[in-house]
Amino acid sequence: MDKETLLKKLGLKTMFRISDEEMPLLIQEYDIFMNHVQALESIDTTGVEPMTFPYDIETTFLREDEPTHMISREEALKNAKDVTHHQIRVPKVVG
Amino acid sequence: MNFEVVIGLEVHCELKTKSKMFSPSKVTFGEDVNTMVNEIDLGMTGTLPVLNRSGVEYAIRVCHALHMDIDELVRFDRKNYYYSDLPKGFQITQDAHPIGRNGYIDVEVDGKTRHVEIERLHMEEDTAKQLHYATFSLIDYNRAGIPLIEIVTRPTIRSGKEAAAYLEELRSILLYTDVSDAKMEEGSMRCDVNISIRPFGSDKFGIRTEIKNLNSISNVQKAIDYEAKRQERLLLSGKEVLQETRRYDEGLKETVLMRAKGDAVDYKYYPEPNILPIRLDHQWVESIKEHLPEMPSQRVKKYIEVYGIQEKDAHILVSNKEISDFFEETIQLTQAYRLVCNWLLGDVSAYLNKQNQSLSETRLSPEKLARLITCVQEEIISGKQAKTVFEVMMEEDKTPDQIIEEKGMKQISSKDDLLKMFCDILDAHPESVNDYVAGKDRAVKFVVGQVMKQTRGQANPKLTNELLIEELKRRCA
Repeated sequence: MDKETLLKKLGLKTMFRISDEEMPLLIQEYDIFMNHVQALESIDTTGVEPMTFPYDIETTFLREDEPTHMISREEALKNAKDVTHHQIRVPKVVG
Repeated sequence: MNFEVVIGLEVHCELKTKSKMFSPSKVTFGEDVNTMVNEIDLGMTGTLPVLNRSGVEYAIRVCHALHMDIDELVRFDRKNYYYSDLPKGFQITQDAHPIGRNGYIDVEVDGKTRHVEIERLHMEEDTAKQLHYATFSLIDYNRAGIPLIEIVTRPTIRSGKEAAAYLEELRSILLYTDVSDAKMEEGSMRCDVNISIRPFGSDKFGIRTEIKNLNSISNVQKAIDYEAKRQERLLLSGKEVLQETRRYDEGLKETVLMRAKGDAVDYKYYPEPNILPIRLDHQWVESIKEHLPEMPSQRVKKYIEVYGIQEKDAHILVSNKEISDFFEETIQLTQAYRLVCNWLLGDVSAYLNKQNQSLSETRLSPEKLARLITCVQEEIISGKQAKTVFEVMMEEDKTPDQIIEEKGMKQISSKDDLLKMFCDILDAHPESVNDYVAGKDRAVKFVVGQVMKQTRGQANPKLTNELLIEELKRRCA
């Protein structure tokens, strides 16, 4: 798959519209990014534990169980494209 | 060929905390749609989840009740999948490091104790509720983010009956630890079944199917019984069982295909980057254990051994936590343990069934029930009268003493008064004494009848009988 097709496909999946003018710049950035990844791949990580957080720390905080913040229904539904009976309406995909 | 059924159960349970697992919006049921939400529940960008202390505490309570090892370093993972019930595109759950491991529940099945091993208990968040219509679905986010615990057994269950017994006991534990209302029909407790069969004696597992959408314990049992038979038929006719997800169709009383294994999703689990590992205070974890409420199995044992209640009755009492709690309170006020049990399982339960109410919805209090029982014991009223008092007590806001007073029910238990009455009656009907001498029962019945008539039924029947026979004997002598 060529880079342009790949980027268009990724754009579709992540819901970003990519214009033809933007494409050359994106391909350039894609190459820079992939070079970077290749450089990382050349590092030998044998025996190194993967880490999720930048610092190896533990916390202790737990939130007290009190309902302290909610937003109005109008606000909650403001971004929705399609609202029926105060609920967000979506295509039916039974999982 | 004889087959053995191998079953593992996954139970999800909603916790009745005040706020959600990772967000400070309210946990409620039956509120208007999309009113109990905030930016975190809706998966808006720029929000961060913060773990609810009670959510953790409730999970630990259940861990303790199931005799589990507790991981005091709490870590979460992301389970990624793209579906409209999940606004963030992932669910925060514990995959690699569940809070509890290695627990068990012992259940009685056909008089034998079965040890059901529990592999893990982990914390996570519930999804939004979807209502499916013919061509579209509507989403209500009130449920999104409600704390859930998932409890997974090892494949140690061997029959539908055993699965049902395990679920009953687990449900009681969830109720007694006071973490959930655990109603399967309302979805606050949900069960998925993994089931396979294998020839007896084999130590390999067969290919398993998963059954979902089970809304009652009895349906779990029925679905398992059906599915085991279905798999057996397949194997005996030389076909193979396919790894697939099925659901139980209540109307057909069959399991039907939902999706084949080919559709299985890769959830791409990875550590949740927005929640750092949380180290729980060891003292706190231990204190939760110390303050754990009494578990149903302990109560059954206590009822039988300490209070002398029959095993069958003890199980019935404990099976309803509200009634069992009521029993506990009432026996603080009277030592008549068995009488309290009889009342609760007899007249009180009959009343609740008839009215379709729970105890807390009625006028009955432990004080009133204890007093009613004491009145019978002290022979202030008869057992028969107690039933009348009970009926009034349930309809009107009055104490037993008030009702007894108003109805003029107080039994006459004064020996002198009763004796005087007999003598008058016997003097007026000397033939009764002759009848008694002739061995005729009717003499006693006649005089007692007269006494009851004169006292409008308020004479203490036991005492009346005793005194009368004494008096008759005296007169015969």
